[in-house]
Amino acid sequence: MKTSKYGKVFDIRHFPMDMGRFVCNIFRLWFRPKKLDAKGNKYKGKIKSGAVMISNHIAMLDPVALISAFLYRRIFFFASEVVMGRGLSSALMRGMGCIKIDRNIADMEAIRTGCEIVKKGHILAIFAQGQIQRSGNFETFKAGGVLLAIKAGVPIIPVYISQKQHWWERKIIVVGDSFDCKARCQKKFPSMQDIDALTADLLSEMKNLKAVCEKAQGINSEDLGK
Amino acid sequence: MTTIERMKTVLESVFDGEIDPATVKETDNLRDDLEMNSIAMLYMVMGLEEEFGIKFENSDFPTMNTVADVISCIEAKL
Repeated sequence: MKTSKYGKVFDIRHFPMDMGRFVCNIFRLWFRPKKLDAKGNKYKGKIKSGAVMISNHIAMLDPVALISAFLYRRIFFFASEVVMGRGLSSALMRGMGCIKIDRNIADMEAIRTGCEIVKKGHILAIFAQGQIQRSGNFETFKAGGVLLAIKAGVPIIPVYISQKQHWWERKIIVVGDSFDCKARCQKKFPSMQDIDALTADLLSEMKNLKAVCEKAQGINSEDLGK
Repeated sequence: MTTIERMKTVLESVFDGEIDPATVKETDNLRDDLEMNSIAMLYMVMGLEEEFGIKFENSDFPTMNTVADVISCIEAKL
């Protein structure tokens, strides 16, 4: 079996997930993902360790877009009960790396599972808005991802996914600089105030990434309101 | 230290001045009196897990409305 530094390329334990990645590879023909960094240049980095990837949620296929853009890594996702389904559907979704989360409560078990996953060196992608918001604006932005990153001691990778203006457009994915929560608040045990401040910083960074994305798409944000 | 005293030290580090542990009473409601949202409750629970070496389940949360409820939950797990 071929081995990469990010884990075995094929691992029987992650067989459904790897089959999912194979399918997402086919979706690359549709998305043709174009990764940019926070300055609008081509993104040349690699995410090499465990991280929490925090992204906007603009369309149903956002998880597929992220997987197709970061094919070299296995990415886990939180998914609500509605998305997970029941029975065979739920088992399949779990096999493909989805972790059931109840958005209506403080889901301690999901957070604990998420922490274990990132501590093992995997990537956990969280849609901080909690639901699809096609406007691309951040009407809601939850602090759960920041909390998880602090608890697990891993960095946050902010990511902004574009909304295609035309079907032939490439999907633009803007990858922000790694956001180290503990280094930013410089405390061993950040308080709730620190978490709120970090969440506000992260939201500001996400808005910057959105601006970079719109510039790359040739969108003038002032025109969007007209 | 008693359970409530240990819980107050956790509240002090989690809320860093926003909540005065000296004024916290067992009858205080977490949401109404201590103004905790779901994220704050989650963070408090994480701190309590580390302090007491226990694990909370999702089914514990609906029963934890007051400080006294949290203390009962902790003592049941010890």
